[in-house]
Amino acid sequence: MALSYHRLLHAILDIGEAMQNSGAEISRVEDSINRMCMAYGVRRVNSFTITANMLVSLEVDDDTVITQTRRLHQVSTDMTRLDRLNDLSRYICAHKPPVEEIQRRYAEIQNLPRLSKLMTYVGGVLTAAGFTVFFGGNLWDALAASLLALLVESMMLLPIRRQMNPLFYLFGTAFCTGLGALILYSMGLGNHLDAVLIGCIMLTIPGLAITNAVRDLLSGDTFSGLSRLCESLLQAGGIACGFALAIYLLGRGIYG
Amino acid sequence: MTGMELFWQLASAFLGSFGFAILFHVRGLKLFVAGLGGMATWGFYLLMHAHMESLLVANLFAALFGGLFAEIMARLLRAPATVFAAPAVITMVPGGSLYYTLYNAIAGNAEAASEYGQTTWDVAVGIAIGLAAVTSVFHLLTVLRRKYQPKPQ
Repeated sequence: MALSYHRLLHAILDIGEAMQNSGAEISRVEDSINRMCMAYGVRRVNSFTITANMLVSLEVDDDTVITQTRRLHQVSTDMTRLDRLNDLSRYICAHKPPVEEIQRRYAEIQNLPRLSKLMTYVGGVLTAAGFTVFFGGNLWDALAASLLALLVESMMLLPIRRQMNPLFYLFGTAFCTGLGALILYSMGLGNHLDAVLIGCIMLTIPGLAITNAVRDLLSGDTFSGLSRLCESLLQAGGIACGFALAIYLLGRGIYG
Repeated sequence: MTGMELFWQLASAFLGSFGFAILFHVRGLKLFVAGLGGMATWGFYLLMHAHMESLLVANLFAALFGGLFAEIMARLLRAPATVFAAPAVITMVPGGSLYYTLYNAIAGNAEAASEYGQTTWDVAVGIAIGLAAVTSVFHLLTVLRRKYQPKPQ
């Protein structure tokens, strides 16, 4: 059966989209798409990816130029998936499998389990507790931060999150967590309110997004870099603001 | 800094980076390596910070170290470098000074806010330059290798 470049490009875009959604840098996504396409012997590939959109044109021969686009949505970092997608992309470049095989392998990766709720809570608690001690808290502070991490992660897992303005939702989460920290502190759990708060901030701050944004920016993907940087700085600011406002409004009596 | 404080700092840096890697869905041996990267990078930062006035330059060198660690581990364990780079530098991310900046801004202490803001900025820029330098050098190496080495097969 002759190779359908339409279906091939569709399958390759599936992989690129999934890579981006798992938290890959833009240059990695574009590079993988280009190499996968070139492996199938097309004459020319033009791919352009920014945070929200992916656009790829294949020039197969004089009469055939195929273009497809994708609208890209929210990223949820998943390194296991990214790892597998990377392997798949290498495999495709080396073996040029038929489109059906690409689709089958892609579906296998998409069906991998996401990070379970339990592990989300475990990761959140370890991060918040770790950073609370890191910023000068003692073990009671770490316990308080752990309880707050459970609050943060359960708010992050609420389905209503998708219906709300993401920035405002983060701000609200931070504000509630700040209040929670004050309540625990006034009940006598924890001695260093600052350390507890900063531990929770480190948990919620978009660390990977900022790292990737800077990488994009300095590797020449200026659009993506700037928009990601803008987005993540706003988020980081919103989060810190939520905590700070909660403490300022309600905590001045007990906050030295 | 006493030995005990150093121990707690390094132990908690490990725990924090490890927790972060869990949230990024890193698994197995790579989780421990990610945590180790966070701990080693923070240790290196403390060393740099002790010998340098400039916060920016100390963070820059520590980020170079973290980035290098991530690229090497990525090659040894066959994974994208981001897997280790983000947990390695997360300990240096200025979450604390960002909080103090905004707290003081909200509380109306403009002077303190701008001072903390400057710290936040210095640290962030230092990390960014350090990581970017490592990434671009390794990218260059990959390009050169692809160009001058015949493909195995």
